[in-house]
Amino acid sequence: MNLNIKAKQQNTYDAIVVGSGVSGGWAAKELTEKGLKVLMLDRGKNLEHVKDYPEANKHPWEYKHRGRRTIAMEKSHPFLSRDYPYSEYNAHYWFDDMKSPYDEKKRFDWYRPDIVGGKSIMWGRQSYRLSDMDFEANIKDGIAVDWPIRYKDIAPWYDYVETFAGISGQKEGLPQLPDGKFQPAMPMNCVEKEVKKGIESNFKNRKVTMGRVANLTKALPGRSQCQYRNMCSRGCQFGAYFSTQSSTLPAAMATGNLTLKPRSIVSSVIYDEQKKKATGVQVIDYDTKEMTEYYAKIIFLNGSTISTTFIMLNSMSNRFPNGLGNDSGELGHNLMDHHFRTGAQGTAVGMDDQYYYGRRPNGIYIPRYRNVGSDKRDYIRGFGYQGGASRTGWQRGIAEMNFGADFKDELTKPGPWVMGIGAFGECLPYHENSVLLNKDKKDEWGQPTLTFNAEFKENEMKMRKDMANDAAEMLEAAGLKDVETYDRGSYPGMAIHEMGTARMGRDPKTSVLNAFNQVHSVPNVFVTDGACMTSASCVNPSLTYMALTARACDHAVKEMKKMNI
Amino acid sequence: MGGTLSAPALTGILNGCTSKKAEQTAAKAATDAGFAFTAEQDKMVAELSEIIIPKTSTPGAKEAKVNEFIETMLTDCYEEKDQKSFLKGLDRLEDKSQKAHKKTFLELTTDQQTALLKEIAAEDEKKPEPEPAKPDEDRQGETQAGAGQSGTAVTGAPKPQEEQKAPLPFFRTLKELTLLGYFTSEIGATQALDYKQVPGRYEPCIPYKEGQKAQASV
Repeated sequence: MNLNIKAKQQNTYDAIVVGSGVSGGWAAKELTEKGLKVLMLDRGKNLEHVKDYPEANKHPWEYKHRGRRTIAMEKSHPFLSRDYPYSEYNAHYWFDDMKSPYDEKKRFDWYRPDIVGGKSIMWGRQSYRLSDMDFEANIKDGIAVDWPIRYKDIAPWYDYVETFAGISGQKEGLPQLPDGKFQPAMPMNCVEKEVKKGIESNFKNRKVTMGRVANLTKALPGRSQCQYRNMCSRGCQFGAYFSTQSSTLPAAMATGNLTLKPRSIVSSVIYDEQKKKATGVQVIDYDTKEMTEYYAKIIFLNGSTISTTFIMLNSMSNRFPNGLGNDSGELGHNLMDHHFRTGAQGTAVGMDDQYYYGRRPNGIYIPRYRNVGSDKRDYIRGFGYQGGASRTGWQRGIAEMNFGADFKDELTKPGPWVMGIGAFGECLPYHENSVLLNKDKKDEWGQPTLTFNAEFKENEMKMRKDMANDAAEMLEAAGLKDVETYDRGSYPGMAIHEMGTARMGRDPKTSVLNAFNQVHSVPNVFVTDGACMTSASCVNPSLTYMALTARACDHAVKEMKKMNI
Repeated sequence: MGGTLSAPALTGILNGCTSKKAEQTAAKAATDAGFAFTAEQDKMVAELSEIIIPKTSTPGAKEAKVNEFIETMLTDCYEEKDQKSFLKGLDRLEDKSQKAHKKTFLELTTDQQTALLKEIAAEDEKKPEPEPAKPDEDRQGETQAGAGQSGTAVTGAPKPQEEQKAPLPFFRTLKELTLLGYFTSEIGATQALDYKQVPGRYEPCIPYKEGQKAQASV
């Protein structure tokens, strides 16, 4: 008995943070800095900043397959192999699909990392604010549920996280894409500058700005400015982009209040029917499969959208037979992702006397202009473009018939300038787009698995036509030649912006979380990763998760002090 | 791991190629239990790669050991049908050589070899091409913009999710792997191109000087 009490004390913290990616790292930082003893759990293996980035300093010729996937890699990671992020450069950062396979009623590409820091190591780093156009979208369109917050509620938290994370970008004064606390923007190259002029002079309400990106253009304490290597997803020994390891984890560690336990799989949240609260989490040791319980006053779920949803669905009790906090029946539903892989590209002529130096890990951005102001389309919501110009490399020689000395000589010079823009479009929250528990199929740790059933629908398909045609129209107006559109199709999950499965809302009957990301019916559990999103906007979402996390942590500690939770 | 030799490696040995390379090839075949060049095939691939990327003011493909790279790639990254298509391409060259010159391909002059490779290129051109490379265009803001800057997503890489009907044409595979192998080798990247692992800064607009080399990809 005494032993049990002691063991329980040893496993008790003020707060537990599940997941150590973009949002989990922020939760750990904020809560520890506010004086809480925090346990951060992650399924992934530990990954120490700099020391554990073995790929960061490798030369191309040190890769046996020069970055390409082998047949063996494709066999062991059949889901991950569907798209480019999984490669020889960062294979060891990704989770082995077959240890916990999933089912698809409709295709869903699920990217699961296998490291502390999660996808904050491999993320695309594009960082944009949502606006009131986004927060008011559902209520104005009369779909799904209203966001319980507005821009003014989150704006100071955007300021706060941008300043710490280090976001470089250009202020533009656009209501639909609010400016932030930016470091100096990265520069555009010659062709991008020309295309910007061409687009902005031909289209009144369209703007070409520099990508707002979590890569430093000015050093921050303990972090260097970007070295323009464009090898970010292998890990950065300069700490030049925001990741858990470069930014939030050192801050949390510095407080002395953080305990980090890698290789800890959280299977469920423990709910106490008497106290009407969550009291802790069940953890499976990744290697030994041993079960342990950890306890805390508050629990932050930051496992990333799908894993957080899994944990909640898998937390069944008499009170919550269908998953923790799932009174509304919305848990696991309204699964969203951005749809993309469509746009246009063309060739810039007359600029071959211009070049650039360095590899900029960022491009240009064209903020949403469709269904903004007086513009009205046959679909709702809109899209933004990411793009950029560069001179082609030796790869242009592959499809050519010729070879030999002259051919070689030609390939050692920079090729023609090409510029492409590809759109990221908003996806609506459809109740029937879901990810639900599959109790019949167990994973390597004896846990249920997941079944995806989500698709893009008519609104997204109509939008895609504009996404391709507008791109070509703008590039042509800007003077590019040989402009071609492309649409290579997009499946949910591919954009790795999955969100919405435990949405925030005003009414517990129709949503899972309240305005401070607390589970309506279990207020000491907070969800601040992508699962909380009520609508998707069309901008890259990670910055919003950071801001919502910092805001929720502030609220959580205030509520603890008031003894409300 | 087992002791069996693959058929191509055995052929090499039975043909009397007992050079060190042949032994190495045989040993390699035994470990990979799959694909390997015979000594003859290896020499042919080395010559072919050098014809595509010859020594000029900078070293050629042979010096960059592109033949070894091609064997590795075919072994690890290509399906059996594409491996076979590649070896068949070498056989086709050998046949052409015998018919036209009554000599083995390796006995021909470089000009004669070049002429035969052009014939093969023209024949393979008529075959359906794999989809052209469009690496990274979906996330141009997130990775470096523009086609052709990434070494990751190059064309013709096998995709298990999509059924590939026809084997990849020989010339296309040879050309692609020769360029990839050469321009990402230490010799190719640092001598034929301008390789900087840590550029340290980004200069967006600089005048291009005649003869200036292209920046190497990473």
